[in-house]
Amino acid sequence: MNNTHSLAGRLRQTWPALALFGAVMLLWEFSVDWFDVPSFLLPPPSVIFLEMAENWQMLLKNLWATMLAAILGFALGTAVAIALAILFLYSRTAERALFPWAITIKTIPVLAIAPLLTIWLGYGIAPKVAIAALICFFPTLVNAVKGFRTIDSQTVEFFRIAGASKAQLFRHARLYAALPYIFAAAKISASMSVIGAIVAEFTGANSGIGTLIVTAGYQMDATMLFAAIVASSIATIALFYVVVLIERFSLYWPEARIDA
Amino acid sequence: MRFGAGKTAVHALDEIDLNVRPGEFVSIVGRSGCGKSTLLRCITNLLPPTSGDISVMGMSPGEYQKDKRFGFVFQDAALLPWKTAAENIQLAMQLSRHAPQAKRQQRVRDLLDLVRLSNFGNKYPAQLSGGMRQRVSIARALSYEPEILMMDEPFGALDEFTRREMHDELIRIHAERPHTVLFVTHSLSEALYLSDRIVVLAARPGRVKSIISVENPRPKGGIAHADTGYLRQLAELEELLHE
Repeated sequence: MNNTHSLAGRLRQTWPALALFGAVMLLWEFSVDWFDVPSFLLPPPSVIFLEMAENWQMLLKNLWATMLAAILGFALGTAVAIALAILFLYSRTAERALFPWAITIKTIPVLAIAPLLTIWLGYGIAPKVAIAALICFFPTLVNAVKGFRTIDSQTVEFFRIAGASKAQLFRHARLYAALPYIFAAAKISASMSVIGAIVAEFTGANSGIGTLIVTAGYQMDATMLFAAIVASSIATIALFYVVVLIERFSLYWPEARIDA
Repeated sequence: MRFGAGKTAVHALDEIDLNVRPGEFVSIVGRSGCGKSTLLRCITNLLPPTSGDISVMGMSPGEYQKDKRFGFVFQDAALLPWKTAAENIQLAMQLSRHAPQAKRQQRVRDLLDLVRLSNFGNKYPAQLSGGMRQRVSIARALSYEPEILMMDEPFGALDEFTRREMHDELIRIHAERPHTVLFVTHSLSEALYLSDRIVVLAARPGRVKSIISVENPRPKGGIAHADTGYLRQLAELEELLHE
C-alpha cells in the first residue's frame, strides 16, 4: 500500500540518504583528525557547527539580507515572465519582437552584468533583486509560454461551441493548463534566485551571505566559508520546499504534476 | 465547400447535399481523411466554408450558433482535468448562460442521473474510465439543451465491450431526450446499430457517395447484431466503401 505520507513510510524512503549523510559526516570528522589536516584548510563538521552556533545572529542577519533579495527577485522575475507569456499568447507580433530580447538577456553571463547593476542600483538590495529576477525570468517565460498553449484543440472548440469568451477560455482552461509548467520552472528558479542574490553580493553589497563569503575568503577563514555555505544551503532547500508546498496546494487535481 | 485561401486552399468537401429532419439520428461514415469531422465543424461554424451554403433550421450556422448552440461530443471527451465531472457539466451551462445559477446544481444532478453517473459527480476525469468520461461529455453537451447534437467519433477510443455498452446507453438517452444527432464514425456496424440514416462519404474531395435508410433502426432488445436485415445492410455498406 501507499504509505509514503506516514512517518514510517517516510523513514523507509529517506533512511539511505540519512545514513549516507551521517557516514560522510563521521568520516570527515575523524579523517581530519587522523590525517592531521590543518583546520584552516578543512575544518571538521563539529568546528563548523560550533562556529555557526557562536555566530548565529550575524549569520542569520546576513542570511535574511540574501534570502529577502532572492525571494523578491524570484517573485518579480516569475511575475514579469508570466505577464509576458500572457502577452505573447494574444499577440504574435509582441512575441516576435520581444522573444529575441529575452534570449539575448539569457545569454549575458550573470557575473558580467552584476557589477554593472551594482553601479546603476547601488550597494543596497536593488541590484540583488534585479539579478535574482533576471535569473528566474527565462525558464519561467519559456515554460509559461508553452503551458498556456498546451490545451488541446478540442478543448478550444468546446469553449467556442459553448459560446465562451477568450477571457473565459483563459480563466477556466489556459490558466490551469499552465500551472504545472509554471511550477516546474518555479522549483528550478527558487534555488537559482539565491545563487543570483549571492553573486550580486560578490560585486559589492552592504550585507548578505555573498558579502560574508568574500570577506571570509580574503581572511582565509575556511570555517566561516563553510558556515556561510551551510546556512545558505539550508535556506535554499527551505525555499524550494515552500514552493513545493504551494505547488501541492495549487495542483489539487489528479495527474496534474509534471515532474521536473 | 472549400477551405483556406490562395495556394494553400484545400478542396476538402464537395457537393454535400444533405437534409436532416428534426429528431433524426444520422451517421456519417467514410474512410479517414474524407472530411467527416470537417463537415461537422462546418455545420457548427467552427470552420467557415469558403463557398457553399449551410442552413440550420432556416439560419446560417453562425446565426444558429449564436441563438441556440449546438451540442458537441468530441473524440477524446475533452473534459477539463482540473474540474470534477459535475463542475465540467456546470461550466458548460455557465459559459452558455443556460439556466439561472440556482437551478444549475439540480440540472447537473439530473444529467448525471441520465448518464448513470449519480455517484461520480465529485470525481475528476482522471479518476473515471474512458466510457465514464464520454458519458460525462455527453451530459455536458446536453446540459444547455441543444436541439442538435454533434458527435465526432465519440466512442473511437473505447474498447469493444465499453463501446457496445455506450451504444445502448446512447440509444436510451436518445429515446429519453429526443435530439437531432449527427454522428461521425468509421465503424459501419456502429452506424447501422444507431442510426435512422447513414451518409457514406467518398474521399478527396469529400462528397456524398450514397445515403442509406436503415431498415429497422434501433430495435428493442439489442439483438440487431444477429438480425438478417442488419447483416445484409452491413454487407451493402462494406461494398459501398470498398468500391
